Amino acid sequence: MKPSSMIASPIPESSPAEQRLLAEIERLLVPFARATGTGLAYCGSAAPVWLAGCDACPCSRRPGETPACLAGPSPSSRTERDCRALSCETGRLLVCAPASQPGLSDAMEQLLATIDRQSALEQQEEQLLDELSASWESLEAVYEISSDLGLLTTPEELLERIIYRAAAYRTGLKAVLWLERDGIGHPLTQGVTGLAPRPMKNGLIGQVMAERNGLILNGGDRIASHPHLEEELRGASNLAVAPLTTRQHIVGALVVWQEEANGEFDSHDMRFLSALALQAAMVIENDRLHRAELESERLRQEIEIGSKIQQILLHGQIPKAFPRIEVAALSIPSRMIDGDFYDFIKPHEECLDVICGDVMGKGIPAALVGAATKSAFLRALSQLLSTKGLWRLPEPHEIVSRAHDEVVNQLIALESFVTLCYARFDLTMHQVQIVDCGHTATVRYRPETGACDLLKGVNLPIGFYEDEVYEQRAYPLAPGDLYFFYSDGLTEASDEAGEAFGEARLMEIVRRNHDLGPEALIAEMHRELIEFAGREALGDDLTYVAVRVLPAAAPSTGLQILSDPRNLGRCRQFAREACQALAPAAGEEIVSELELAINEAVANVMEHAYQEREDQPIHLTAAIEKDRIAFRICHQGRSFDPATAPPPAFDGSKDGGFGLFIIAHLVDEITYDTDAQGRHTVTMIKTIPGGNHGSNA
Amino acid sequence: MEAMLETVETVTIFHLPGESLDAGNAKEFKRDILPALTGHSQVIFEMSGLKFVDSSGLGTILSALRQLNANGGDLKLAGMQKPVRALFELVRMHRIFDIYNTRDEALAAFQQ
Repeated sequence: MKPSSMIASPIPESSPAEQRLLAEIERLLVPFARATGTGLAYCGSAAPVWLAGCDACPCSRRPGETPACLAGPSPSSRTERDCRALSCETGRLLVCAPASQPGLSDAMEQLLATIDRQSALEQQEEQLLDELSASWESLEAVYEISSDLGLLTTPEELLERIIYRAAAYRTGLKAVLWLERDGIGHPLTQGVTGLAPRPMKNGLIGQVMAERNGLILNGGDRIASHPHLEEELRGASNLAVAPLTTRQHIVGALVVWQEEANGEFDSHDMRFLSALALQAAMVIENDRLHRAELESERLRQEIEIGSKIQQILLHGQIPKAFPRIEVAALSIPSRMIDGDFYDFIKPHEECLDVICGDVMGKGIPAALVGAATKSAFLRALSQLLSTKGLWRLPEPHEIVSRAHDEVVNQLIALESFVTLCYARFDLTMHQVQIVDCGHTATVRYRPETGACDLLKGVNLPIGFYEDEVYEQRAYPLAPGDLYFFYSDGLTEASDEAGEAFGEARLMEIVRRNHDLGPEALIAEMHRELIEFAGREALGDDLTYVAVRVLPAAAPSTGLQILSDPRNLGRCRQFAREACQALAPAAGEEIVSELELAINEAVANVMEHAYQEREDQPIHLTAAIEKDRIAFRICHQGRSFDPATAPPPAFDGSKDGGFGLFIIAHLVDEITYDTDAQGRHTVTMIKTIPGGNHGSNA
Repeated sequence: MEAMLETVETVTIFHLPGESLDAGNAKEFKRDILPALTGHSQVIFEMSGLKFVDSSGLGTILSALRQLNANGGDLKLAGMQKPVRALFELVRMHRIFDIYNTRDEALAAFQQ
């Protein structure tokens, strides 16, 4: 009896990613497996699930039992069956293929890799949308409230607006703003009744205020078991508390909770609440200072609060987990706040968007214009992403244009403008796309030239001209390339004699320190600036952002293909990428030569070793040793004796026979080896002039 | 595979399709393009779209040359990108083919 009907899906406790992957496996792999008599089982978060039964395999086939293939092929099956465990994003796929069709498992592996990649892309898109919506919502809320500062007159009205905004963040939220005066908390509420002023000290809220840090508690049991829980929070299933802090004091706390368990709080939510709490603190503090008519202190406080706004809203967090990009950023606020801002977006792990901007003007208005502009960018990207049906990232110039449309009229009305640089580092495309809107020129260092240059666009700043059309420029991106963005506070800083720091000095420092890595480079740049200026306190805000592309890790440079000549393009691409990763000093001519040599060698394997069979495995690897790059092509076809090959006809009388002649002229060495298992390896080695990458000397 | 054909007086210009001509599509080229040469005697292959040609691709262009020569025709090549030109020179085929930088130069050579 064939067990092919034992499909038990969906797995109840599996994640959306796992379910998506399984659905794709069922759609694409299962019919293929059934047609070829291949057994398929999936092992993920739950018990192994048989997706297609194999007719001949002696493995266990009962559902819930671990198939014998999991432990590797059994001695009895080794000859007839090709059993493998393939890893995928959420688990392993066991393939038990008839050994009489040797390419089958490879083909399955390639299909699975494709499914995996697509599923990862979909997930990235969802995460990105999530992240964007969280951060622009909070920016939006804070900006709206800040705009109200001018319209609403009394602090009570402002605080009411803040509490209303907090409660509206999610449906079913209850919110209380506790304001502390002389140890007694006074509640301002939304969706809550029956609260009276009371001492704040001993409860959970008092604890948050004493510790000055926000608190998230998810889960009714955890909340209920808190020893000093306030009465009104008894029924909460999730809650979050943010303290209201000014420079010297804790003036209260913002508490939100929900009684239905329909969504836990996370760090995004906390960021939003903190921003609201900060606004509330600012309202209270301004009010206090206003009453005391301490105009000068009010100004200082404003600066203090402004720089907090800057830290929370204007400077994005550096995204983590880029295997091939290093990023660092530093912002040093001056006594006077201004509107420097930056942010990072990570469309996927081979792609990083950097936004650096500077608002004309100083003080809290500039900081708020900066926040609004940044918010417009995140929203523009989010809208463009959600309007596209397919996974295509909107281009930087599309994002800039969309954001510009949104803020230009406000900026013109405010008589303000924003200089900005939007740069996308795309490692899959090997390029940087930059839309420069009147920002400081970007410094680029390339190992290929060993020099720095300045990249400058032609666009006007945002807010200058309503009908501006933004032009995007693309630059090639190679391993080791370094980009340095900065605010004009750096280049315009002057020494005691009045001389400006300037671009030439900046480029020289980048060039000299290019191998330090972004973080140490920024530290060094700041040290040089202080030394140049002769003082610590500079008049202007300083912002530095540095991005460097790492050389790809050597072990990843391999490619597995089937012997179909239509795969030659992939081999050439592999050769090109391996050169760029391992030997960035190799010029275009050498890269083209290696592309051709690898193409010819692989084509020979397909035609001669595999006799034009298109389903046989070929494995390519690349390695670097000092200044020599080595490409190896492994196959299991017929061995090949180059001495028996006929010489090429240079008179044009024959179509073929040029391959070996071409290879011999393009590489320095070519060798043929066969190991004990009968696997053949063709090795080609070429010296890269000026390249010494094996050691980091 | 289909090449775009352009006729200028007695000369037929084949704009070779695709970005590469290699062992992966050389058979297709032989099957589709070579028969289309029949009936033309002054032919230019406009190659500026090709970023890459390997020895199999070069072989098919040689077949085209031999086919035309056998019928008293002539083939000129125009618009090669640098790596393609490098391959032709490496296997000394620049001595066998008439190679021009541009389509206009190749046309002028036919019209002389």
